[in-house]
Amino acid sequence: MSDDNDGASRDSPPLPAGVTYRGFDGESRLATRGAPVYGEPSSGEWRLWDARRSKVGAMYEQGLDLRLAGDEKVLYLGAASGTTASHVADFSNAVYAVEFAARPTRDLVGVAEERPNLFPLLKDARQPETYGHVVEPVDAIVQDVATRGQARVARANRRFLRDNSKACSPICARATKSSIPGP
Amino acid sequence: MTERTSEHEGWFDGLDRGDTEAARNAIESRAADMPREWPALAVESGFVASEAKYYDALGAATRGTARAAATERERADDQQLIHAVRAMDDADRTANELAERVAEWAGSRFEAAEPGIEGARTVAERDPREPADERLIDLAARVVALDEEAIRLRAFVERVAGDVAPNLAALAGPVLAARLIALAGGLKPLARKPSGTLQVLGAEEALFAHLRGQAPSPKHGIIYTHEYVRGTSREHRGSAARALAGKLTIAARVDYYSGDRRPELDDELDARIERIRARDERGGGESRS
Ligand SMILES: C[S@@+](CC[C@H](N)C(=O)[O-])C[C@H]1O[C@@H](n2cnc3c(N)ncnc32)[C@H](O)[C@@H]1O
Repeated sequence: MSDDNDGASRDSPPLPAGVTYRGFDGESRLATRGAPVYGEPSSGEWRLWDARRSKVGAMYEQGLDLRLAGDEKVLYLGAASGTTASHVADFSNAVYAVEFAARPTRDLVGVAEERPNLFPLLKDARQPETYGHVVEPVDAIVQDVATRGQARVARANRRFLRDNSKACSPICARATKSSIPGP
Repeated sequence: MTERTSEHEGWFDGLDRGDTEAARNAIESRAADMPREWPALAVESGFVASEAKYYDALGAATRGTARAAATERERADDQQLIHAVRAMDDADRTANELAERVAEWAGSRFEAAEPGIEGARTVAERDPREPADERLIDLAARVVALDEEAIRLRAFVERVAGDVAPNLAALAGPVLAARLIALAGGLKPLARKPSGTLQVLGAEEALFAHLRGQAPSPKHGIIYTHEYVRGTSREHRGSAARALAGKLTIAARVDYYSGDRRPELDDELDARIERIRARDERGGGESRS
């Protein structure tokens, strides 16, 4: 994938493989490769990652390094209807998406229908033992639960990190060593 | 059938591939404190032939489970809605009944007693002079508190009705939506009723009288409270009730079977009612009394 190098020209940390800047209506915008989800424009296989609708997208636009290289296993806490989780799934190996509200979960399942590597779980992120039998050790955790007790959620889910040393606040974390065998 | 199995088991252990119900049960009720290398373990145990196959199975199982569990959980709320709307009606009715009692009693003690909840509010603010005043004023204060509870219950019903049945609540208004669900006994039984039945829900007495041959068939039940029926001229009210009941039936079915919000239903209903009402303006037609 050579497309990703577009991002480097902006003098910011490298984007994960599978995330790149593409032209949309003459403007260079963040994009990932996958089926559209929320009415965002697409160009060829690429679809716009709308930073106004996704905090992670906004972080990349601002040049933050979330230390994701692409092709990771990710635990996503607070997936809601899957806006951001769908983009993360586009450039990740597998995404376990936890959401505890019923209505957005239904949309999330719809998004997962088109993404064989996105696994929706209707679970409470404060009770990781209720999904420990489904989620494998992951390389990164994205947390966006937006409720009280975020620190507690982060602490409780640290056990899923392959390298069990990185906290995941406020939104993203990555295990330090990348000991993932490629698929 | 909840199972709590060993901490070392994955969701797939002991399952037959393709047994979706068992998979759902395992995903929902098993537990493990620590994650393990489930894909490799699933291959080792013979559940699947390869990790790629594992992810296929995991995808089918998690999607099926999340969809079924989300739908079930939303539906379960219809029973809470039913309790709340009934409690709201009880609180309203009881407050008004007691307000009448307060007004009657107050009329015997003070001059110019207002009727209703407002009257009770005035009485509740008085200073007692005699033991009988104390009892009366206390009772009036209960009436006011009960009325306030009815208002809080209404706010709750308005909020929850939109979660339980977004389309029905949008078309009928949240309180009427809740009443229809309560009359049917739940969203599922409501969604299964033909539109002619929905149209006369709440008019059971009139319907039985009709079946006994003692009365004309009722044209509308509780949906009469909807502006689209009440606000349509007498002559076309039957058509309006039929049109409204038809759309509400569709809305209830969408809510029960899919849960998506379909704003086009609102537009279709508005257009139907507009056409029905336009008949009046086109020369009024043959007016009956
Ligand atoms: C701000 S929204 C997430 C938006 C999403 N990350 C995106 O960008 O598309 C927060 C979500 O977290 C969910 N949430 C809050 N507390 C949770 C918990 N304890 N477990 C799981 N989900 C939770 C909420 O239901 C809500 O859908």
